[in-house]
Amino acid sequence: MKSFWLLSLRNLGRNRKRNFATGSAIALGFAGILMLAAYQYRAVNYARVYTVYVVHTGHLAIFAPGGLEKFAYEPLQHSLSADDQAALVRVLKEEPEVERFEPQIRGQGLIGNGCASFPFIAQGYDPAADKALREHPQVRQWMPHFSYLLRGRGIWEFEENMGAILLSQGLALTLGKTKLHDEVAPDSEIRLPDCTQGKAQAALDANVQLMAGAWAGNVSAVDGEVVGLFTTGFQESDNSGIVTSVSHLQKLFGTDRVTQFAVWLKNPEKITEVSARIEANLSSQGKTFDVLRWDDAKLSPYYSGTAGFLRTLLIAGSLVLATIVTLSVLNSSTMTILERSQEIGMYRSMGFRRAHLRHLYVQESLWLSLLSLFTGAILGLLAIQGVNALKILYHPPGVAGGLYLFLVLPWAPAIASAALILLLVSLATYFAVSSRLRPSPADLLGGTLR
Amino acid sequence: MAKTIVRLEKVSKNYRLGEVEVPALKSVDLDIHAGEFTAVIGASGSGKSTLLNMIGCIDHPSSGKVWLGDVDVLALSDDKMSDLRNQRIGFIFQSFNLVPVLSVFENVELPLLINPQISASERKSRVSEAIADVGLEKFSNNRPDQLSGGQRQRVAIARALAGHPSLVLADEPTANLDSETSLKIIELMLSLNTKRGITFLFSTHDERVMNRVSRIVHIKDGTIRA
Repeated sequence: MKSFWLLSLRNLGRNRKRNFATGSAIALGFAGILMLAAYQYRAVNYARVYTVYVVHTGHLAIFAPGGLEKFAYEPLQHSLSADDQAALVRVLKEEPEVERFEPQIRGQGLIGNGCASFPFIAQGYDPAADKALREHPQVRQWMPHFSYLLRGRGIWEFEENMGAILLSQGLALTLGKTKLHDEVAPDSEIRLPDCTQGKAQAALDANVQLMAGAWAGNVSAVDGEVVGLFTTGFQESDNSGIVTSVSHLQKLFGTDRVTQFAVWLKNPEKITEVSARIEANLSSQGKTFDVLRWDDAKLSPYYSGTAGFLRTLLIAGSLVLATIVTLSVLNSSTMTILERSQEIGMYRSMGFRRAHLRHLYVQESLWLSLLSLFTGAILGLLAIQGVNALKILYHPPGVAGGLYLFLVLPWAPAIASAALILLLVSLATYFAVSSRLRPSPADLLGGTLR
Repeated sequence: MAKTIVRLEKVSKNYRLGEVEVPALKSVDLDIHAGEFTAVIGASGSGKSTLLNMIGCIDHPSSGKVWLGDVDVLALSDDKMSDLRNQRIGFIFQSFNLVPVLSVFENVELPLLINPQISASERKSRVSEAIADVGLEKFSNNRPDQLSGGQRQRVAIARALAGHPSLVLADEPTANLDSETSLKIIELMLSLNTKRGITFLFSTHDERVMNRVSRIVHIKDGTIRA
């Protein structure tokens, strides 16, 4: 009833101090929820983009059967053969929803500077794909402050047969390989270092030696040229990671096989249907592979753990704030309704049904909530802008170099939490007023028509 | 003989005070006829207000029957009883009970808002008519806090009349007013009774109104005396 909305709006002016206090609780609670949601949204998207693009997981990862679990100790048996790769290329090229795909190879071994060797974990990428992913719009959007290359140039800028290698920053320090290919005179020769002189000798050139067990069982070694230093963003891998081309690692491991294919989609929303189509098309060619989604906990434990933790944090935080808001409204509604018992008696005497009065008082709370939520939204947006402008650097566990606290508000959860607050406020008021409507109108009036 | 608009049959009402049951009305029989201007008089605690509550259908008797016209009020659901109050009874409260955030016009309009049988245009015309009846046309847009006590009670009377009720109930409508204003309010009610034939039933202590009423109901210790 239109007039009820007007009356309930006007009633807000009757106890301004209490309504201001209740409205402030709603507004600040909602602003808090918005900030929490903005942090969660930003952090989850950071983790998503890091997983999908920065570490080349792709939206889909395709392994030989059992490859994800068994590749590490039986690489030859659980990797993709040249024939498998050809079939995958055929199918993926025909799939219109595929933005990009890439064969990848992973492995570990020892990296030496001529004097000492240290363990490494290598990722072999397609250099062109590596370049494209670093510049992907999603990376620019969600990781604007993340600097992958700390010094030097990417492997895509060098000829593949040169054996270009990116060293993680911690490993470069351990090896003493602080000089990059571009910093060494073009005509200089590789010199055997005088190992008694320490790491200074290792820094004379950009050459490193990689040694590993080849997949066929023998020991293999190749030279590499350090062209850049990078950070993985994580302390553990920053001390052992190297990135090079697929062909370079194939040479090291003595194989034409690869570990997996990563596939990036134009529209990740369609991942389920595209995945099914790819599997069906591979099957029609007599090939069966394990096709895993990027958010599979086995494939991306970092993402699933982070996203799960942040989701729990958001839900718990929002519930606490929503409870505080609801209790504030319940308290305020109860006080208001107790104070206005005589007025309720007057309405009832005039023929207002209980339902009319429930509507009237719920509408009053809804007005207060709507105005407060609007104020809370403005406060929340201003706070988010303020936090972003401050460029606060913080150091979450395991993240090398820290992250900028950059908040992005997701509108759908914001609207959903506003709707939840409105629902809780309505229910709180409904129950508060319902309990006060049980007595007879005469009792509400104080026993007489006063 | 005028039509009976309210009939109470053996109506009793007991209130519980802790362990003790206190009788407020004892087997009361009463008929109110259309067009009467009736005063209920009695000492404090005699049962005047309880009697008006029973007639106004805002409280349930412990026993007995209440008829409003030919409707057995106690057989109605709460919603139906609310509708009955809205359409047949007007209430005037001792402390006016006006909504402070509404204008005079809006306060008078209030009981009509929930009557689906009344169109918006009819509602406006009824409100204007009721406000004119109590002589407050110039104050239509004023809020209650901009009016005197007497003017506020006039607004309450207009609000009671706007629904065109068959009965207007008032429990000590002049108790919060000075004697001169009280008399004016009673005169106003009487003129509405005379001109419009509206049935009034009100409780009062004011002996000056006794010679203005068409009927006096004496109540003592919860019993109506002849």
